[in-house]
Amino acid sequence: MKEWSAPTSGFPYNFNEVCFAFFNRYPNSFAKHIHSEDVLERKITEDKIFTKKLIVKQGSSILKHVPRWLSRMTDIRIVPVIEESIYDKTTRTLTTYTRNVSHMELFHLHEKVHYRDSEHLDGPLTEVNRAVSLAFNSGKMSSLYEKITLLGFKKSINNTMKGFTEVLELYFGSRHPLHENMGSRLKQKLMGGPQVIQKINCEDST
Amino acid sequence: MSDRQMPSIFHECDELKQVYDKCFSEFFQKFITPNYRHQYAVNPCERLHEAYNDCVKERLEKTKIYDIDLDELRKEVIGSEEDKLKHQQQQQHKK
Repeated sequence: MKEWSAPTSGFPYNFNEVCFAFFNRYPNSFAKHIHSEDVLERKITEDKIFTKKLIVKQGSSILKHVPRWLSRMTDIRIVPVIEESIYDKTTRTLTTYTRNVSHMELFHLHEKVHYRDSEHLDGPLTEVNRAVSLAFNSGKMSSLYEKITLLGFKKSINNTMKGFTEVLELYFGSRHPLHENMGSRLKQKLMGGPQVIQKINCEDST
Repeated sequence: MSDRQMPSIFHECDELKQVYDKCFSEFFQKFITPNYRHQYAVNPCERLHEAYNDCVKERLEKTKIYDIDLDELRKEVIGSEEDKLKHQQQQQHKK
């Protein structure tokens, strides 16, 4: 089993803008692999909205290169996932939990994302913290699959963020987080993400 | 912007989904305004959601599409014992 936390990243938009975009983030040009999305449950209380979505995705392209005789992993073309989310108006946080709901005898891939209002003098900012837990049940190959999948997951975050930004820009206009009049704290925070992703790209190409 | 729509897992449910999504989106914009006080028992889009959800759930049970484990759909994992990243949330809250 592997667990990994992404470095904190953020969007230069206020918390409610980010949440609105979250609920409407598909379709976008960076998420062509998403086939469908359905709201299975929605509970609304005075200050919270609980949502359960069924999202059907195209599976990871990496594992299809594994020879068929070696593993049933190659059969996984479509991955249906459940995404639970809790929007909390009082604490100004949005927590999401996404897990696969098929082929569970072969693997689990769970992701938790925490969005938090981090607005300050320099302007709006919503912080994003992301963690993933994954494990394969494929005997000796498990560790290798876990490594490959985690690498693919790390790379996919880049697209997730780009797609999210596209939707934010569509509804709320574009903002330039690195604009010179923005404070250094914001700059520093937003620089964290892309740097790490660059590093992964380097590792991958070796 | 209004033509940004995701299909349902079952195309037969697309229309019901679109009507519901639109209703929720409008409701959400009201819900987030600071002065809005939500009355617990009132969910303006509930009936639309029921109709849409009946369409989806009925077909999920009938077709067993993509080998989806239906018991898994009923679970609520976030923050529960089955939440594999429970400690992550706690850490994030501490920050």
